[in-house]
Amino acid sequence: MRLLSAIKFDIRFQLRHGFYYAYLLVSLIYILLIRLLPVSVRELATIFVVFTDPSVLGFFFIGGIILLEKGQNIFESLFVTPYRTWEYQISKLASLTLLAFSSSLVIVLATVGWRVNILLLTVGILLSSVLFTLFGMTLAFISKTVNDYIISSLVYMPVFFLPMLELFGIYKTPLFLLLPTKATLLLMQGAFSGISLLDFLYSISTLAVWIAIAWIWAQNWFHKYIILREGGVSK
Amino acid sequence: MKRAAVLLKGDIKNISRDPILAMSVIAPLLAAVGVRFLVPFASGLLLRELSFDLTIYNELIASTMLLVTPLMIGMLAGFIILDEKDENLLTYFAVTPLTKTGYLIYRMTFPIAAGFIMSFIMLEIMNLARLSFIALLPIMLMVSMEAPMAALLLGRFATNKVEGLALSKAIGIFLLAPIAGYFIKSNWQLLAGISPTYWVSKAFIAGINSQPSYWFYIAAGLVIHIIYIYMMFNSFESRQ
Repeated sequence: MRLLSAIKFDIRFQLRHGFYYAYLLVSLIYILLIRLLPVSVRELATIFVVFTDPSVLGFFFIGGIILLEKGQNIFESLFVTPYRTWEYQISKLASLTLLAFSSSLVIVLATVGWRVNILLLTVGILLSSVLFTLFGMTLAFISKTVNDYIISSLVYMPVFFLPMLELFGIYKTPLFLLLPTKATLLLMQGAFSGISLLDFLYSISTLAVWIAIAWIWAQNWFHKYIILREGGVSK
Repeated sequence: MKRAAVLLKGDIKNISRDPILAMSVIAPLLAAVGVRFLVPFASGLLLRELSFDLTIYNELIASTMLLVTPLMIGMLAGFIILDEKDENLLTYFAVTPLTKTGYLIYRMTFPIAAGFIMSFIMLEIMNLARLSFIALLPIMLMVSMEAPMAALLLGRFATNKVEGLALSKAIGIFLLAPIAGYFIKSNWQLLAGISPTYWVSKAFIAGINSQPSYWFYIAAGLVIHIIYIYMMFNSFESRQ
């Protein structure tokens, strides 16, 4: 299986570049900090941490990976082989989502334990990770440097984190329902305190629609900026 | 001076091309404004809902936030170094009259200056803790040294930008040292002193409470910062 060996290779690459060590360390710190908090707010803190860090780590890392491969002109040789762009994307999505999921699970189990609906939590993390890794891909295709990438992300990422205001009871608006992150939050909160069928269906379909759009977008820009190299992005 | 001017011209061109330098000014300002409004809000909420008094941690929050800015600026500078490394520009700089030392000094100057100035402004905006200018000065010296430290860490230990990203995640651990120094009451907390950030936060909090230990933390902190920078600077030079 070509795809399977691609995923294995990506995981090995990420291991070698210290992704797993970095997240082991980061997860341990989060666990320590959350356990310092009073029990009554640990659940909220755990949702906050998983939602803002591991569930979107794909976004953070995919930028570096694609920029490095772009700089090394890997794409040119990669896609003269039978390897397809969608396989490349699936492999990156799968490997980074595995890391996101492992880190999230460790944090949740070490802070609030098994009092959680693992299935719901998993669905939330997986969908969020896939979506944000796809977002990262589209941005990486048009970025020149890592700083470029980080700074552009600082401009529009905060919008996606707005539903956190609702999580902390600071500000409420039905407009948040349009954002995929509201759906992720509903799933994660649901994993702790239950979720209505309507909310569940809303969350799944919202994330699915966003992922479909992001997938098509990433595919397009992959061809436009990497395969056809419009706009002379690569050196 | 002329050599630096050439690099500076390149950087000014870069500001218009990618707004990194502007960002290292705007992001801390936004963070400081955020803290100014969110911390009192959170304090009120926690006191009402959980009768938990957050304000006793104001000095800790201020000293930790103070460290976020130079670390962030340092990481941005570190990624510039990594980009130049990936493009083999570093080797090129080394053989020009600029030399590698000159290159490093140049790359470190902006982060140090920006870290120094922004920290004063941030402290003023956050309005969480006050310290006299004289007492603040040596602390800010240490704070501004965090930036070159983060930059050198990335430039020295990451072989490319992907490792740089993983490492920048791990650099976040430096922000834990002040918290460990605050909550661990036994002498075990000195272990956190391996991280330079521990001394900044300790000196800051001792300074606010006018404890005599302030001078100890300043002296030890400055020595530790200088040793780290010296070691990493040398190791970066001989390695590349």
